[in-house]
Amino acid sequence: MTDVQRPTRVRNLATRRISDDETVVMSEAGTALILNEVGAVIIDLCDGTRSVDEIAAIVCASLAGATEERVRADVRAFVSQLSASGCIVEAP
Amino acid sequence: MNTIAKRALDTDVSIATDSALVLASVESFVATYPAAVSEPTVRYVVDSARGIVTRNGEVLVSGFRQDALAPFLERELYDSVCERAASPSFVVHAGAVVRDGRAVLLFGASGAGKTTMCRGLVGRGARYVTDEIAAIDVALRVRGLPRPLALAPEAPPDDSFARTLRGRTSGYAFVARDGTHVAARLFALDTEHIHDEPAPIAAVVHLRHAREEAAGARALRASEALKLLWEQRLRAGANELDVASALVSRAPAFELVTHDVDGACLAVDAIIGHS
Repeated sequence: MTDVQRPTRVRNLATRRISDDETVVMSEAGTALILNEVGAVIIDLCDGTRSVDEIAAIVCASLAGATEERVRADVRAFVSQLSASGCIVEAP
Repeated sequence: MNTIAKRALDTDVSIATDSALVLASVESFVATYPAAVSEPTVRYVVDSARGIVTRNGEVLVSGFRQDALAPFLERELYDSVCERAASPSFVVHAGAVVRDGRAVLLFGASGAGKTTMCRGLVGRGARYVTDEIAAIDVALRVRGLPRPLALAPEAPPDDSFARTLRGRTSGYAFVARDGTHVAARLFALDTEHIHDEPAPIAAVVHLRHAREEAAGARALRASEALKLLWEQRLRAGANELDVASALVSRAPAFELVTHDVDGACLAVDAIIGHS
């Protein structure tokens, strides 16, 4: 699970939308991830102004039938993955 | 001082040295580069007695052992010309060969088989661009550093590759940074086997050597190809993302799981033929 509480994208993180449901994010260090539509929304929300739980609440509101507890766990796991890939860091 | 002047990824480079050992090693690794066409903009001078290497008058290292100077120069030259090639190109850790005027880009992690595949495809009539460093321009054409191909140390001196192609083999012995002795043999292809003009890319192939998986090619989605290419990028440069994105959206991309070089070369031939 993530230690990042208020995530923000690293500098020079490149994103490229390839299709309706696939976006590739690429770091200066050479790591890259393929994100689905929800993943692209989450990384877009990682601008240093929101906590992980606030991001989860926004995502949950946009997903019909999703439980908040489940979404929060998924978002935390995803933020952890983004952090491990060098795409986000804790906001200063 | 003896001076070698070569052209590498559109940069003219000269290397001047007072050492016969350094000169022989440098000649080995730049043997297949075309000659410089203008006054070199990157000029190395090697003072072997003091172990000093300068670039355009700036001291890069001093106190280096003579047998460590050539490998240092090779890495330094790669870095220097890649940096100059990076804008507006996408510079990537990849091999490339050309058949019928169209290039196939072969990329993958170290050990994936880029050099082996280049050797195999050139042995089947393709022309060699590079086995290591490729620069892709905004028109989606590839150029490369056509460095001599490394032969496996255990391969016989007259192995089939060296026998069937025109070129010459040279030894390249040096002491690596960690102090270990490295002996390599380099095979410098004759110019008839080398393609040194920008070539349009017909296909992009990610190589993966995996005995436990079935050999063969599968089409990659553009997102997969972009991710994998980005992971092999060598230098940050302006336009690199636009170039890489355009490449994966226009050129068909494949992942090729390899077991043996013959089967893999047939698969690449089929990919070029159908692209």
